[in-house]
Parts: sequence; C-alpha cells; structure tokens
Amino acid sequence: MPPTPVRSLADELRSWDDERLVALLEQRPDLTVPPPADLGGLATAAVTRLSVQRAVDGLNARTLQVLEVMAVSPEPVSSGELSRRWGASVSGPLAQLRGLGLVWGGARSLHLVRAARESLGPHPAGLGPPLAEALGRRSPQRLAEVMEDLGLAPSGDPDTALARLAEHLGDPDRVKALLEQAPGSAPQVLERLVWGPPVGQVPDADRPVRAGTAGSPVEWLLAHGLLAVADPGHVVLPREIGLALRGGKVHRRPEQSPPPLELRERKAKHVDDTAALAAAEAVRLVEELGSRWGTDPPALLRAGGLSVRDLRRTAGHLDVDENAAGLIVEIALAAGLVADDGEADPSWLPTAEFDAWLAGSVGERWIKLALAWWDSPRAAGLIGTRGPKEGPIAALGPGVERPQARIVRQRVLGDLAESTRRHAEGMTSVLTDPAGSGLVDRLAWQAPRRASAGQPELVRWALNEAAWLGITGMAALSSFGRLLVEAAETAPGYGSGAEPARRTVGAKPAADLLDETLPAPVDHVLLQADLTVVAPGRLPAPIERELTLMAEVESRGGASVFRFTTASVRRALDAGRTGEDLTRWLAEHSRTPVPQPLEYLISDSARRYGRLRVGVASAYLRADDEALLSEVLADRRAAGLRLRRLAPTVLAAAAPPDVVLSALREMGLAPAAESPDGDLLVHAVPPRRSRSGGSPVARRQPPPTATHEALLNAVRAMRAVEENVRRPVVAGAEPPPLVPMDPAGAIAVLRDAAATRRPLWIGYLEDAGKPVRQLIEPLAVEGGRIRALELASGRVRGYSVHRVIAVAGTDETASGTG
Amino acid sequence: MTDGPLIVQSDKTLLLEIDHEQAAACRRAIAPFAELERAPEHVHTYRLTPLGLWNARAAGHDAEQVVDVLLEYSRYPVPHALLVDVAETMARYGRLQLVKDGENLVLRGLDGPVLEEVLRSKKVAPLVGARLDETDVLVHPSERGNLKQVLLKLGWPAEDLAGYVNGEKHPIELAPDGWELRPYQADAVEGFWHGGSGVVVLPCGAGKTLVGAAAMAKSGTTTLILVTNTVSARQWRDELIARTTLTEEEIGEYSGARKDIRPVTIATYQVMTTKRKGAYAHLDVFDARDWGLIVYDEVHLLPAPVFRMTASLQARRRLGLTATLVREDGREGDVFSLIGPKRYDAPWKDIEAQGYIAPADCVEVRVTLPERERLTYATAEPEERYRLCATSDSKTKVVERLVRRHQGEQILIIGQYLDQLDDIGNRLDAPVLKGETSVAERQRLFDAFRSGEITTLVVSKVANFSIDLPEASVAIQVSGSFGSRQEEAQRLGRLLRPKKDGKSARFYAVISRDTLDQEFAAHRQRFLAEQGYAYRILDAEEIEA
Repeated sequence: MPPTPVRSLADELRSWDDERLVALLEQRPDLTVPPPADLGGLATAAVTRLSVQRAVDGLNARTLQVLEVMAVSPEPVSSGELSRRWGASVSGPLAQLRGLGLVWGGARSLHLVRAARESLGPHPAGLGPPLAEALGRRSPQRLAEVMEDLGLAPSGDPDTALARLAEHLGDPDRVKALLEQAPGSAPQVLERLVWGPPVGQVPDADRPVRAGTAGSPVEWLLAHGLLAVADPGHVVLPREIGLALRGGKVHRRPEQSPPPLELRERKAKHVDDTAALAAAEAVRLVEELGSRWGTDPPALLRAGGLSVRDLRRTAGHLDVDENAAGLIVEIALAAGLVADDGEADPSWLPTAEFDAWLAGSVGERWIKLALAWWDSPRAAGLIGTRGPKEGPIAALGPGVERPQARIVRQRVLGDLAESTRRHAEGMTSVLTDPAGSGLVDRLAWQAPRRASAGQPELVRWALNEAAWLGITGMAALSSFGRLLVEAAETAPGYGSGAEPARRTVGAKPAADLLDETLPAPVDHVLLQADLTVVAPGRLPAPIERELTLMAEVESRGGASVFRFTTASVRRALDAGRTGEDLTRWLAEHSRTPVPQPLEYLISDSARRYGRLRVGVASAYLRADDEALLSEVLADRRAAGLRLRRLAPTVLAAAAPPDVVLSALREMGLAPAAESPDGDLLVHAVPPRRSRSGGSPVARRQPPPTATHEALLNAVRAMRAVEENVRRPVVAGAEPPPLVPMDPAGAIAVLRDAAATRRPLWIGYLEDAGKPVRQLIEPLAVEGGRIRALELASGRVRGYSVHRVIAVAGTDETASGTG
Repeated sequence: MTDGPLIVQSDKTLLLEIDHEQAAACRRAIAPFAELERAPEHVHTYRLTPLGLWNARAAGHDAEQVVDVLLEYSRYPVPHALLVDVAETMARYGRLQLVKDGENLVLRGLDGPVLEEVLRSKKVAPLVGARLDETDVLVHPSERGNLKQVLLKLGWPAEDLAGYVNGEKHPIELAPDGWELRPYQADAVEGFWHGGSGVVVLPCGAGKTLVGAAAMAKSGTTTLILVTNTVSARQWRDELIARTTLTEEEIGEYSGARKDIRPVTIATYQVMTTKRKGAYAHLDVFDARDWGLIVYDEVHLLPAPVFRMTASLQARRRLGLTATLVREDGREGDVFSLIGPKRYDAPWKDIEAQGYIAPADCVEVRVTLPERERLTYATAEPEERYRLCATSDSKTKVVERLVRRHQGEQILIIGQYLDQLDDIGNRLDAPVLKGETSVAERQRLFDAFRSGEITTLVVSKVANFSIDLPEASVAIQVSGSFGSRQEEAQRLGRLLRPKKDGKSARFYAVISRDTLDQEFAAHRQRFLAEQGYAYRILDAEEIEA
C-alpha cells in the first residue's frame, strides 16, 4: 500500500505496529473495556471525553506542560514550534503523547485530539481565549472602534475585521510598543492576569470605551483590544496578549524533571535493624490479634466493620494505640487472615489461612502482610475520622476504602526505591524530612491533575504504615523492604489464580533477608523469684506462644518480660495444661532453676483448679428418694436420656426436659417439670474459624490487568477485522473501495449525506461481528444511531454509528478528520 | 551487634543480665540516668523516665553520654525512636534557668520559643512578674518553688542556679571516735553538696542519719530537721549527740510535747501539719531562725502541707533522705522540683554485699486455715474478710512455734490489728507497744529490748518507721495494711542493722493460704523482691514446734 498522508487518529493507529498498539492499550486499559471491534473503533474509544480525561490525568507535569503548549498553539503545529514555545525540546513528552494516542500527525503537522484540548478547561496553562474568539463577542460597531483606536483600516465584514485585529495584536513587538504608551498602572493590571487565571473582575466591563476618553487603565486596555470582555462583570486577557507578555513561552519554565528529593546518608545496618524490629513486631501483633479473636471474636457491625468499642478493646489487648490497632486489623483483613464468619449473627474470626500463615518464618509471614498492604485499596488512616455519612468511619468497614491510597502508596514507595540507593560502603540514602514532604512534591509532579488536597495525608499514612511494617526504617527503605517493593512492582498484584502465589515466590528473597537480619532467636528463658520470666532475645514462635499462654506479657522489644499471676496460670490450666506440665516445661526451657515461689504459685493454682466443675446438661432430675433415682438410672428405657448421677439426689440428663419427661412417663413414673431457672446451660466452645474465604470487602480488587499476550491478541483481532472490511464481502452493484474511517469522521460524512439525501456505501459490523457492506441513504443521524434506507432491500433500518467502520460516497470519496 | 549485658526495650525499660561479665560496669554506667525498678536474681529492670533523665542532666550528664552507654552495652539494636526520645527529653532540661540577677530572681529562657510557650501557660502567668527583656522574666522569690513545680509539669524543668542563702553560721563537726563515715555515705554527702539540694536514697539501716549529720557538718549552719514522729526525733537527737560535736543544749525538739527552737531543731511532720482554727499553727518554725539547711527524713512520707511550705523555702539548702523513693501517691515529681533531684542511690543488695547492712532471709509462712475458719471467711462480708484471714487463730499458733524456734534471739512481732497483737502478747507473755502507749513507756520498752532485758516485743504499725532497734534479728509479721509495698520494706528495714556476730536477719511473713491475705502478701513483697530479696515459702506444718 502506498503511504497515504495521515488524516485522522484512526489512520495513525493503522500505521502502528502491534507492539505500539499493545503499549497504548497497556497505558490506557480502559480502551479495552469493551474491546473495540477494529482499529477504527479503537480510535473512537480513544477520543471519547472520559477516556481522554483519564489519560490526561495520568500525565506528569512535564508531559502535561507540552500538552498545554499544544492546546494553546494553532493547529497543525510542528514539533520545532512546540519546543520553542515550551523552552526545551519536546521530543520526549511528545513521543509519550503520541504513544497515548492524544496527539497524531506528522512531525510538521501535529494534531491534538479535541477531547484532550477540552479536558484542559477554558484556560489551558492559565491563558485566555484567542483574540479572534475573545474580541468576537463585541458588536461590529465596537470592533470598528477598536480598529480605529489601533489605527487599522476598518472593514465592514466582522470576520475580516477580527482576522485583521488578531493579526495586528498577535505580534508581540506591537503589543510591547502599545504597552509603552499605556497610561499609569495598566502594565500592573496585565501583570495580575498574565500567569492566570486570565479573568479579572471589573464592574460594567462591557461599557463603551474609547482610547481618547479612557478613564482608567482597564478602559484603556479594553479600548486597545489588549483586554477583552468575558461577560458584563469580567474582563479576560486574550491568549496572544498573554503569550506576548510571557515572552513567547507558555510556561514560566519547563518542568523537565521532578523536584529532587532531599536525602542524606545513614548506616544501612541501622536502617535494617530498626526496620527488622518493626517487621517482627508487626508480625507478632497480627498473630496476637488472630489468637485473641479466635477465642473472643468481636461482632460485625450491621453496616459492616468493627465497632469503636471493639477496636478500643483490641488496642488495649494488643497494648497499642487505636491507630495502630486499626492498621493491624486492616492488614489482617487484607491478608485474608481474618474475615466475617458469615453467620446470621456475624463476627470477625481468623480464617483457616491464619493457621497456615502461623507456620511460616517471621520473614515469610511478613511478606504476606506487606504484599497484602501493598495491594490494599483501603486506607487505615481513615478509621475514626468523620465519613461522608454521619458517624466515624469504622475499621474493617466499607468506609475505609480509598483506592487512591493504594496508588499513592505504591508510587511513593516506588519513587523511594528508585531515587534512593544503598551504597557499597554500607551506607544508604534516607529522607532528610522523615515526614516525606519531598515525596509529596514529587508525587504531585508525577500526576499534577490527580494531586488532591488529601494527597499529602495519604503520603504521610503510606510512610507511617511502611515504617510500622518495617518496609522502611529511619526514613529509608530497608534492604528487605527494597526487595519487597521490587518484587511487588515486577509482578503486578491483582488478578486471580496463580498471580499472588507467584509474587510470594518473587518476594521470597525479601523474606529470607529479613530472617537473616533479625537477631538469632534464643531458646531459653530466665525464671526469677519475683515471678517474672525474661526471654533475653527473640523466642521461637512455639515457645513464645506457650509462654504467652501461661504468663502475662510485661515488656516487649529485643527481649520479652513475662509475669506469672494466678490468672495467667489458670489460663494455661484452662487450655488443658496440668500443673506438672507447666513446671516441667519451665524447667526444660529455663536456664535457671524454677524458683520456689513460682512452683508454689503453679501448684497452688493447680490444686484449686477444678474444685468447681461446670458441665453441660439439658435437664436435671431431682428427688429426695435416692432409691427412686437409682431405679430410673438402672432402667434400660432411660438409656437414651444419657443420665448421670451428680449427687445422691440429683441426676443430669443430656436429653432436653420434654424428652426426659415423656420418657419417664412411659416408664410409669409421674415426673413434674421445674421452672427453667435452675437449668444451667454452658457451652464450652473451641476457638472458632471463619468458613468463608475472606471478606468481600478486602477481596474487592480492581479489574484484572490484562497480560501483554492478551492485549496482543486483541490488537491482532482488531487488525483482522480491519482487513476483512477492505476485502468486499457482500457483492453490491460495483461498490467502490471503502475507506476505513473512525466513527467521528464517519458521522460527519453521514450527516452530510443525510442533509443532502445522498446515498453512500458503508462498511458495517453486523451483530455477530460480521462485516458487511451496504449501500444506504441516510435519513437521520442522532444519538449515535443512523436511520437509513437500505437501497438493496428498500427497507429503512437503524444502524449504530460505532459499528460503521468505513464509508465511501457514491460519487466522491468522503474525507474526515479525527 | 555486641554481646552486651543490656537489652533496651522499646517501652523504655532496660534489662540488665547480672551474670554477664560486663554487668557491673554497665550498672555503674546506667545508674546515673535509669531508675532501678526491679532487682531480682538474674535480670534487673531499669526504666528510663523523664525524671530520671532530668536527674542525670542535673548531675551533669548529657544525652550523648546516655546514648553512648546504651549503644555500648546493648545486646540488640537499640530502637531508634527511643534514642531520639532520650535526646529530646534531656534537651528539655535547662532550657529555662532560675538565676540571680543582682538582687532579683529571674527566669531566663535560653530558648526563646520555650520561654514564650511557658509564659503563655495559664499556670505560669500568676507566678512571674515583669518581662525584663527578650530572655528574662522577673520571679518573686516566694514563687521559686511553685514555678519549678509548674514548669516540671509542663515538661520544661528549670535548672535552679539561683543559689542558696548562707544561713546562720553554727559550727558542727563529726566526732569520729572509733568509727568513720562509710564510703557510700561520704559519696552521698558529696553528691548532695555538689548538687546543692536533693534526695539521697539508701536502704533502711544503712545509716541515713549519719548522712544527715555529715551534711550538717559540711554546711556548718543552723539546721531544721523534719522527722516522722517523736520517737524518731529522739533517736536523731541521741545520734547527733553521739556522732557530732553538738551538745544537748544545742538541739531542740519541736513536737506535740515540746516546742524548743535551738540551733539544731528537730520537728515532727505531725506538729507541722497540726491545724488550729483552720490554719497551720507552727509554720513559724520555718522562719524561727535563718536556717542554713533543712533535712527531710523519710521524704517518701512527706505530707502535702509540708510540700506547700517547702515551696517557699527554695533559697535554703534541702536534703531529703529515704529508703524507698516510691510514693504511693505518685508525687515523685514534687519531690524532684521542691526538694531536689535524686543525688545518690544505691541498691540494697550492693550495701549488703559491702557488709554495711545485715543480709536478710525472707520467709513466707503459709498457714492452711482449718475448715471452720475457712467457712467463716468464705461467708464474711467483703470488708471484714481481710481482717478475718489476717488475724486467724491458726496464725497465732504458728507465731508461738516460730518464737520457740528462735529462742534466745531478739524477736519483733509486727501486726496491724490490735486485738490480734494483744492476744499474741498474752500468749507469749510479751509487752505490746501500740499507738496508745505513752512516749515514755515506748522509750522504756525500746531500751529494755536493746539491752536484752526483753527478748520478744509485739509492736503495731507505730514501729514501722525510724525506730532503731539494732539488736532485733527476727521479725514476724502477722498482718499489715493491705498491700503496702513500702510498709513491708520498712518493716524488714528494722532488722537490717549489721549484727554483732554477722548473722543474717530473719523476716517471717505469716500468711493464710488461699485467702486475700495471700494476695496482698504477693503485692507487699514486690518492692523487696524487686530489690533482690527472694522470699522462700514454708508450709506452717513444716515448722517443728
């Protein structure tokens, strides 16, 4: 095919190779939902307002500036002209804009997609409307007055007048010369508008003004066309004047690179040690949360989430503040370690996953938490703040969702990983400002249009949470945190099936490095006569769990201190240990002999333990006549009641009272029911586990990101459709070659044809996706539908505009623009 | 990572493994800034508190030294946040100073914003006068103490550099005939004098009175000594006459019984806090002379009114003495700002190791109550329960057996409930000393006990403090005021005077098993257990009659 000049975005896309198209779809994933039928459809999707806005919102400050330069430049424009107006070479940003499908055309005739221009609002780069538009609002008489005041030859035709005015004032030198004659503070008035917003409030802006009678600087400027009237209350600085005052450049200076991050050096070992402590502590706290909730599950609020009271209790139990408790429960939820149990009276329980998680090393458990946090669309920092509805936002509730938090978190840590490094001499770069103000600025540079007022707070949360998790320490990425970020970035998180597992494998080096960094565990404790136990280091999890069962924790850190109390020993006895078990276990794990007071405490508690017994019974039988009870007990017909003698005059039954009553009656006895007041029902329930696979709240992830292969297949399919269209499928009466055309172009041609009742050929995708060619006479084009007479069958039918993939006139080849 | 003896916890406790070879060096290094919280047999616990860190600052240590010590001895990485916190806390001390500027007392801010911050506080405003310039604010001398208290509460403790009045000269010398000041006593006096004012912490029986006497000699001025009660006042007087050049005529007693003001005057807390017509009637003692030194004995008991009076005495040197700077009312901060920072502290076991206090063997005797008593206990009203189990008859029998076992030794029996004590006194035919016993009779009984004329003495809580009974070698505690840790320590303290034969003292606590008594006992023993005294448990049945 001979190279044809690019006439539209669709044309441009057709000239791309598959990889470039795939890259476009990767950068603008919304274009694949729903998948366009062919490249024309892709082009249409790519110029819709919403999609373009998304793409523009994702631009960094540098590319956005170039886009703004384009938006205020006359079209088509050359890249050289753009570079001149921007003040630096636009080649990089321009390539990016083209890759995104926002700009198309040759290097000397570049076009900006209209929706991109519109997405920048009425004042792109803070510049007002072009002169022709700004002055066009004046009446012909006023225009003539301006021209007269400027010394221009009058013209009867407003269009000519405007063109002449625009040309005259479009010359920067002339503007400069004019301003030199300006009275008083006129330059200061312009100064206020020059960098935007270009609109100023002026009462009665549309009053008649003449150069000769101008009473104020504003009047003088209006009279000379240096200011235009926006509406009766406002004046606006026309674009050309603004540009002239800006010295021909659109921006103060080209934002070529993000603001540098202020860093200083620290010993990497200190950073790693600090982070490792935090990481181990985070793992421990989540474990403690799980074991606590396993026996004492908090209820689920009706609106979802955890009540403030339960959060406070959990915080108290974990000995952390409520903010930390909120983060802990959210991370446990994100990692699928706790979930709503799905019962009628729902509560929060650890999942089966939790038990599996417990088996891992600290490092392995840590990466599970850290990766879950990395992907979580929720912001724990929101907990307790006022939500949009009344009342504070509940932990684990729907109000914690804030997808922006994930984006910020991943960008901030990604940026930190990219802009800091670990040096050979054992030093590493750390943030000079631990609060991360530098990262906030850089994040804003990365996507200025996404930067919201809440963004600094999200950055702060991200950094705090990363430090809490030990991904960072002392405001620097820890070595294992860096490995984790790299693993998380190379294998994108969401998606189903094997994806999470693959990432866990990818993050394995991070887990191993953390395990190596942590101090070696100690396998013994020191028992003391004041009933305390000191573990002079990190304990292996089984020892730690057993000790936590039998003693209260007093102090945590590099070492742990526990204290034995009557209550703590009783707790161990409740869990099925005997006094001897405890003493033996302590003797085995202690490097010092078991002190006598401790032995006494344990043996005294064990001695008193179980002197009171509590059991389950559904009914009881009592009689003063012991013989009668013996008789009942002996009767074979009572076997089903599972009777047990508790005392000479009392029997307990496992069967419910009504069953017992009828059974006794059948035995010929005359029992009477007692009021239920004395009936004790105690359920000893083992730790419960949620059967559901995880909360829908945590599992709600964004749509899976399509893989490169999938996108490539999609591109190939589009191309195939495209080529099919070029080959005629339906034999018509000498159909001309059809020109593939995007719907925006097609619609113009169809409208034109409808207006003149001219028949034309269209390539159309039938319901099954089968391309057909038909000769139609369009009757009306509106709302994305075409009503047309199909000439072959003579029927009037409807067509969807977006399925029209090509158009050819019967007498002339239609042309369109993108 | 070093293999040091110290583990620094993120909750600001320091764990010192004492069997480690560097333990002694480490203990010396951390003592200036960390408060010893517990000292059981293997691992001692210290705590970093703002007061402790400011005490260290007052003694001339800076944050860098503290951080260095922690890093040097720590076994594991020290939490970064903790180091930052130490540095920040220590930096708060001394940003404000109280200084003399000519005749004026001035609050000087070395840090402008801090001065602004405190001056904006509603609590500070009424205590300061005119702003002199950028850094100085006038302070009325009478508000010196109150201002220091308020500034401490605001977290910006002021360094008091305004000095002291010299006071009225009065020569006092120590009279060492056959004895001399022990090294730790000399250190304590030195530490106090160097700091100007402050508190010395020494175990019971370690000779705090002598530290007071030596401080008086150093000062060479008239001195006001505040003590807990009259008996204690007399003991101070006797000790001063024996150990210094002071004569009976130079020492006055200011108590309920007598109101003598002499160059050295010993007043009781009780008389100082006596109110007449709603006003404290004896405040003028503080102004009766131009005191050069004020000594507060048992400063952990200092009553609130005396604190208030002390606030206006900031220009006089103040020495606080105590064995246990644990105040059950949590007013350690007031002691810090009004008496002064801690200037000297030695763990009990250290002094014991040097042989200056007797080693003690603490035994908890557990008595199993008979069925009948258990039933009475189980059905008693809650407020009666402790008394019931504490005064069980079974205990009395055990006491008899213990007394027989220690025949020939000087035995004190200490209790809370007078009926119980009278009962025991009757059975053992021993005199009972209680609140209603007259001062003269008390004096007589103590003298008889000291001379060996009486071998067994039953005492109520009146003998908890400051009663010097060097010969007592066995104490049997039958009941106490609930869970008071401090009482337990003070009672043990009665036994800690070194024995002539170098023998250990024996302290029995008789406890009713499985009752409230046992629970309170566990709490009572905590201070001593933390000081390294290990209680042995003995079943009452094992005591041979």
